[in-house]
Amino acid sequence: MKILIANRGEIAIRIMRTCRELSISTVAVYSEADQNALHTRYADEAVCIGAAKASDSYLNIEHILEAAREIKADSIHPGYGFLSENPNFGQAVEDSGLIFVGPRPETMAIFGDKLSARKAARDAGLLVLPGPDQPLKENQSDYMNDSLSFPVLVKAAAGGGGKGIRLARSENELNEVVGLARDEAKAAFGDGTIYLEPLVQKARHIEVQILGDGRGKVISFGERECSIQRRHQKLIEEAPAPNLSASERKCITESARDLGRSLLYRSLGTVEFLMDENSQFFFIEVNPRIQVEHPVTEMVTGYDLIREQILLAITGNLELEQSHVRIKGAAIEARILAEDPDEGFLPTSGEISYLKEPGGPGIRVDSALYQGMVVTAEYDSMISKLIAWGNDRKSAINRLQRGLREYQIGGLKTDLVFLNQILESHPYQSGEITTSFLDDFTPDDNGPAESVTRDAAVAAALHIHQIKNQPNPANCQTGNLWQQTAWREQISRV
Amino acid sequence: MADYRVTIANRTYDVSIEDDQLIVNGDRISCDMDSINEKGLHILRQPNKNTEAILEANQKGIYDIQIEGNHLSAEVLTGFNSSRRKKRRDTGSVLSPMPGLIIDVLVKIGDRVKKGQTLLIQEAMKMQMKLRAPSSGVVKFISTSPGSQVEKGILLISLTPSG
Repeated sequence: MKILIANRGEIAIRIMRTCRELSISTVAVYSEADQNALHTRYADEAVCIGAAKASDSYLNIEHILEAAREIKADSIHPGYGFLSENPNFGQAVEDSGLIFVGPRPETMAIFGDKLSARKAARDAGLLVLPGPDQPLKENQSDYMNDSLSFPVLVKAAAGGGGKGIRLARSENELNEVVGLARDEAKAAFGDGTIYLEPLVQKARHIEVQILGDGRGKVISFGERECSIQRRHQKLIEEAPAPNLSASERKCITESARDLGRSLLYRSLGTVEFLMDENSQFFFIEVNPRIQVEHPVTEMVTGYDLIREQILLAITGNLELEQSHVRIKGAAIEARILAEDPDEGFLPTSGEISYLKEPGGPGIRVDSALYQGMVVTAEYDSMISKLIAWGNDRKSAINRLQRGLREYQIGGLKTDLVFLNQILESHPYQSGEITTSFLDDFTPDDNGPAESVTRDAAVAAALHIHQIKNQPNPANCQTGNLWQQTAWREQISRV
Repeated sequence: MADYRVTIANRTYDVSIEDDQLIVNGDRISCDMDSINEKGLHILRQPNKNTEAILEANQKGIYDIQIEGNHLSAEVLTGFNSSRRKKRRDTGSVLSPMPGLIIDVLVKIGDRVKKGQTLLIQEAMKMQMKLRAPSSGVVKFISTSPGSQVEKGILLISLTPSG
């Protein structure tokens, strides 16, 4: 058995790790920008599929299928993002006689259109947010109807993963963002269809991990809380969701299974809900693929979700029973981003000059970073994930904080410090989290401890002092050309 | 007179160094530092305490320091002879805030613009953002066009501010 992983970065390596444990050989695909990337080295074989631009490589169905044919792969795993939710890709893979590790293309098509997804959820008996199941027409001037009020979200029908969402607080803002949202949707998803949905205030984002055998058996691996978001993209996720009653937990997981059963869902999927102030769960969307935050579920259930997904795809059988799935302890994931929280999360870029990843009990690092890697704006800004497990939520928080402090990434700004400030805050520690958490969040601004800035000042002064008092390597017998160049470069900056 | 003046997080440290003896804001401490690799990792050794610090000099005299889970920026002045960086408020330049693609240019040379008016739309990582006028004025020149890929910090539009 040979699986081609149609993805890059940490998720490609994550999938290959499981393949290796299952003695399945792996094929990496890569763009010209990624020729040295870690996933190409981890794989048993690696094929270049085109230029750096995603549409020429990771989004190019023809190039990927050609690579699969050439290397004689039996199966394709799409990972997340890129083509993972594209029904045409799933269909093309199956049409060429390969196993697609994912849902049936028909199912992906239903969930790919957020409007038909709403209908499917309503048909399965789930609560859906009010709003028309109709797209906004071009040149429509009267956007709102009776069931909607401001603030309202403008969403791309083909969107997902938090992309293609704009907020409008008033009619003026709505007029302004509609065009922008349409352009953005067209650019990102190739489809400019947009629709409106009310913004639920003080809501929590809670989602359920399911696995279906395609014949009506659907297992839930419990829920995840993903309310800590910036720009509608998740930043910190955890399992289980804190402060849920047993009946609420049962309600949400059973709703997700109902939806899966009604569609004879196949493979892994995540059913996303908003929980409002009155503990009502509203369906938002289904992500028919593995998700970024799946490790927290793996850590509290002990299951390797990718393993279950691949074995199901190969054998067609799901031997697991719902009663086997038990939740133990708590797990939290923090997304390490090449973004600067002090500058409104603007993307940062640069060469990873130094790297030290955390370790020790209960810590998991899913990453594709290496020293010398150049982070560019070409692909997603998420460069690594740090996950911590503990016997309870408090110990998981403490562990994640320890891990974040151990994590050292030199060469570019990241959100490491900011993540720790969130975990440190009282609302987070007490589990009082909603999707607007970061809108109201200001880090405890005592700044770093005086002893730390003092040490840093001493280090900086000593560094300059040492360079200045170094003998000139040009006169030094042992200095080779490389050392001389490095020395000159350093001295020129002082 | 101190050898170095280091400013970090609005705190100022005057440091004099003589062999392994340092005077920091008048306090004498004993301290040494070793470079572990050429990538910036250093160990700061003080009595009963070893600290890891990653030092990166990114501009003239500006250090990026990672230490004990903190990410700090330090400005170092040497012997107070160096000319202090002049902080001139530039209100006429629109710089690229990040690497990305210019999607649209909404003004042309000679246009009179108001402060806050959207001048350009830039896209990076599938996010579109508006770049606005830092001040009211007249568009003096435009050094980019739709479809251009730009680096961070590139001058995109220059304005002649009006009073």
